[in-house]
Amino acid sequence: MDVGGTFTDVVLVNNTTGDVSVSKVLNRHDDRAETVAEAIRGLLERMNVAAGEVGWISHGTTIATNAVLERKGAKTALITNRNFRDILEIGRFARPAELIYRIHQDKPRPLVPRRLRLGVACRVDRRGDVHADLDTPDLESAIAVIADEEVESVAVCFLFSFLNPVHEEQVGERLRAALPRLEVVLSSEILREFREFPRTSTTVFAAYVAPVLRTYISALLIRLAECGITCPLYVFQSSGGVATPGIVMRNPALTMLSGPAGAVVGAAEICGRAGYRDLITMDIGGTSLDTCLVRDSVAETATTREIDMFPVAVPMLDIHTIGAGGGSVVRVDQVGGVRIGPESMGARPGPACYGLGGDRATLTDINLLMGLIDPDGFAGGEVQLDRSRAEAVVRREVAAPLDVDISTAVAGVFRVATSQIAEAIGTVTTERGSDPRDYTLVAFGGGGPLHAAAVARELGIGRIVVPRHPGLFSARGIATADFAHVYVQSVLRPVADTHPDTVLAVMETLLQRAVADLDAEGIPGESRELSHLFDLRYVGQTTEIPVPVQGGAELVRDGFRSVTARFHRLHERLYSYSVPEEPVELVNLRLHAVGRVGTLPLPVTESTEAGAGPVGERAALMPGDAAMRSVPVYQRARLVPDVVITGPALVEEASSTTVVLEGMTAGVDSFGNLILGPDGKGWNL
Amino acid sequence: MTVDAFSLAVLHGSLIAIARDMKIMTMRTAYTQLWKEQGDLSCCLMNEDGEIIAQDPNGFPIHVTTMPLQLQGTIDAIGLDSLRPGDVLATNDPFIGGTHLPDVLIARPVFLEDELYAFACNRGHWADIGGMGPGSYSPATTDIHQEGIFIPPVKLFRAGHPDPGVFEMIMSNIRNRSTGLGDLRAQYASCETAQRRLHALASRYGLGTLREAMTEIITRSEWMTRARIAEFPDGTYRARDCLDGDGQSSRQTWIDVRIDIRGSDMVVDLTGSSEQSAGGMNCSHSAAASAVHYAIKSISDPENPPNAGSYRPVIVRTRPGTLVDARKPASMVGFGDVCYRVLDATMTALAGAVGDRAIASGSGSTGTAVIAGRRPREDGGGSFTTLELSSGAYGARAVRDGMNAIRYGPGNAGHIPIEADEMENPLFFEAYEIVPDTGGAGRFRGGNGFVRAFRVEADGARLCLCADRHETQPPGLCGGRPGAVARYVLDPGSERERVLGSKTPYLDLAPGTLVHLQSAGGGGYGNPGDRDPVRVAQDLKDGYITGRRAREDYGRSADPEE
Repeated sequence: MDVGGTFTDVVLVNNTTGDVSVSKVLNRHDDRAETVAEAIRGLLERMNVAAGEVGWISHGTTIATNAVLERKGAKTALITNRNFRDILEIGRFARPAELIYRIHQDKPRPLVPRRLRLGVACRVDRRGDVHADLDTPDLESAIAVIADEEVESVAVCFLFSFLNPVHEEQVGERLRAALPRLEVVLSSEILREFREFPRTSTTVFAAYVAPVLRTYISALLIRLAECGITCPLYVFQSSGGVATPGIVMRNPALTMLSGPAGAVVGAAEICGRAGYRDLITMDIGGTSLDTCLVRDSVAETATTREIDMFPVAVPMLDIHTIGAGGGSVVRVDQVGGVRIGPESMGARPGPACYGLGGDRATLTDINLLMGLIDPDGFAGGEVQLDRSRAEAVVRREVAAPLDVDISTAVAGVFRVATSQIAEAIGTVTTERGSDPRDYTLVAFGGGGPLHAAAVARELGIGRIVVPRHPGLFSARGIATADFAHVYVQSVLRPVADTHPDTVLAVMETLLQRAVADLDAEGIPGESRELSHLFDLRYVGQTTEIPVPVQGGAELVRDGFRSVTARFHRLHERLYSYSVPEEPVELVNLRLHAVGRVGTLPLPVTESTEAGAGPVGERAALMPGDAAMRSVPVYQRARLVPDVVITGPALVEEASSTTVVLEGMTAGVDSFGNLILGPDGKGWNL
Repeated sequence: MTVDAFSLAVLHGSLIAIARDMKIMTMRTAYTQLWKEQGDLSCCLMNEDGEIIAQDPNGFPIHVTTMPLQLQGTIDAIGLDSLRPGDVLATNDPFIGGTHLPDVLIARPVFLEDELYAFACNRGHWADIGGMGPGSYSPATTDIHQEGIFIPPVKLFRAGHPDPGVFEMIMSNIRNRSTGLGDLRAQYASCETAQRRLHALASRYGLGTLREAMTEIITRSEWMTRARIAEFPDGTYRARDCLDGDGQSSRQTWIDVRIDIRGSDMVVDLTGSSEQSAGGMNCSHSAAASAVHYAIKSISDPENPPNAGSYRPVIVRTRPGTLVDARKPASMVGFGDVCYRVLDATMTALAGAVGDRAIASGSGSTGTAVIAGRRPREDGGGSFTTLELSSGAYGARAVRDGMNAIRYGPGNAGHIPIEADEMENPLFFEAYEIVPDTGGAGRFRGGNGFVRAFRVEADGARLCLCADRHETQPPGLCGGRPGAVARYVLDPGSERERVLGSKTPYLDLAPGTLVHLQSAGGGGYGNPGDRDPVRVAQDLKDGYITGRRAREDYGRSADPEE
């Protein structure tokens, strides 16, 4: 299930045949859990499946993220060391780049107002030793404020708690005893890494969304039981893996960036099955483009990102987002500069061509005027698009200010969009030491297949995959996601001064925590994959590079030599130089624990109504062309393996249109993936 | 123009992305806290004439807009004809247009085959550049040579090969050789990346198109800025503001601003400012102009990316020999604080012309404190130098309170996280918090300053301060009250308490000394009597103001329930 802001998608996967069926319902505002239950009941009924036959449920949700963006989380307090209560408000002290010249704009307000930021005297020093004990009267007055103000949730973050959590634990114990209904989140329980601001901010996010998520999950479990569903429920996390609700509730921030991750996991899985393991995903929805690099079927990961200018540090997929989606507004500024996004018209009123009152030009309007979208077939024919409205708006907003004709305007805007998307992909590839030409571009979301061919040509990418059911990707990805947990402990020591035994002891502690969680989730031993990483940097640097370690034996054998050698090579790749003679620092030990859930079968496409030929023609301005021409239109559902389409062509399905440029070829593989081949070379599997 | 609007949009976006990524890359690979945690460096791309095409959006205005004159001076000194592909230039000369000696400009001329068409530039504040004391930040310097090593325009690399003599000359004159080398490496590596990406653009679009786009980007920004300036009423607008003293005497020095607006042209005349100071409170014409340009960009066209065109309609006049156009051999150590005052006076003068767009003065200083010494033996020994920035608060705006405890103005260096600071330096923090009542009262309240207080747990440690707003308060606007002055105190509340002036040359600290650095607050906006009582009550409850201030400034009872 994928519970979004507007819609809930439920996908039922038959684990014998791999068949997929879908239900999409509009969220009712009052009771999210009831909406979900309704969708499930309907789908089971329709597919004639008994509730007891459901084996497991994986559940993705943006409830936590939306609670933050709409400021609808719990009333939250923050306990810090005394005289340090404003770490959350001061942040990095420097302004975010967008505020440097915008002197009338404010940073977003912290989630905890100052009256609820409570200092308690106590202090651990940089060695992890207690410098001052916890001051009980201070704590009791903090508890009195928390009770008086009817606070629902408390975040606790003390300096150096990642080295010694004793005071956080004392506060947690006392709070839980005094106010049993209070949510309490300790920074040391969720993020044992140095730097107090990101740690405080992440702890506050977790506390702020905890009651919201807990209420929702409890309600959902009750509803599911009422439906007769008895199987376990798993929650999808930003890391692209699932976990039990119990583990997620230890740190609800784990779900905060899970929105676009489901589709990336789905793409990695489906493309991997078809033999494509090195991918660039390109997901274009209504408001944004999300792109992520996948190497050997594993998506690249990141450790921190900002929401509303506050950092959240949780394991996450390294997804780069820009405001270039179908609803993104296209405009010309006062001096004739062409701008796309980040402002979006969203789904309502949406692009001008929806005829719902949208009076700004959007990328969807541009695509329609280019003839790339069929006005009668949009969203499976549910929305009739109005070409004349689109034309009027694009003429007024783009063509007239630039003094060019409509076709020059739309072709030009498409080119700018292509460049922005290519620039975003460059951020996750060339800027991180990877050549996009070594990857397959996977395009999905309503807009991905429209823009993929032009982007691939811009970047020199030789192959594009448009998987089947590009709109269901996220829910299917969530359904097939593995269990995933990350355990971290900061060390912060030069490698040369570190004894392998010290490291082995920490690795063992992390391992025990991982084993306990995987045991609780019932993951059998053969399905477990545990990988250790060292976050390394040159002594004196600030940004770490995660470097895989084969295991304890490797360290004992060569005393960190091969892992540091690996680090120098990675540094060279990422930053174009390395300094092997410089000392290297071990910042964090990291353990990635994965519980494989086993793959689901993919249904094989049978040749049914063999209708490989075009179903019609349409006048279209193909990207890169100077004028409209008649282009053959194919129905994707009718394509069968071994039939090759030669561009220019348009391949249509309910949720999108794939653009095939002149010189490119396209066809479907036995899984039903649409594959576009390199310019002029044809394609083969 | 033959470059079409769409190619222009593509190229403009790409050029800004290159400048942005230069800084990100430098921060990721740097060694000094000042860069990796505090981000005290900036990048831009310039055309062959040394005009800014694209600024890194995260760059500091004071760094970026001083680069053109310094680069042009460098080219003049080295000779345009002697530039070759693979050369890397360096200088820190303030008198040709730089800031102060610790800010080192690295510039990479970019060629397509043999044709020069751009410069990739990276200016970073080095943690040490030699001179009188560690951190190279003593306000007691009376000439530039006490400040550190003076690097005239030189070639650091010739056709891709480092000049070992030049490297050695620089590294032999700074205190932290390995940090310096690591940082310099990060700086020129970012220029190499920029060069590679520019090359890709030039090969793809053709040099002619790229050059036209670069010209067009500047031209359009100039139109935009002119259109905005033309909306301001013609006239002459004046303001004055002062600095605490120059490190040699406590006599106030003045910034005098006279702005003439005629149509879309603006002349900002600073010639009435004080003579150049004997101490380090001076700046170059270029640095003063960059503070003026920042003020005008932020009230005229804050939304669009800045470049040379944003600054063209504004002419800044200075008189050689004044503190805003100091002559050799004046020390420029405190240029940052001088620039803050140029900004404050310019903004106050502009208020007469632009009304609600102007904002009240912020905390008005870099608040620079350098602490240096030797780490205790149990912490591994060795020397340390760290720079604490202790000033930050916004002035109030016409419809908003000033933000608390945040950088404002043309600089934007951040703080070192407390945990990183304590692990790297022998400091033990006792407070890092917003200080109530420091923001000036008003219909909208000035931002509150903050305190950063720490014990120095080292033998032979030394401290120097190069800051301001210790004697004069940041003024409010339109009836708003001024913000509180800054406070720099050693061992406050004890028998050994010692209040320090804003310019304090290196002084020895006894082990365990508590250093209390407290920022000035921002000025208020509008009459305090007009403040919404709900806001006063909220402020009281949140501890942004105390009961006393609620009574005295707003006539409110101290009881928040009332």
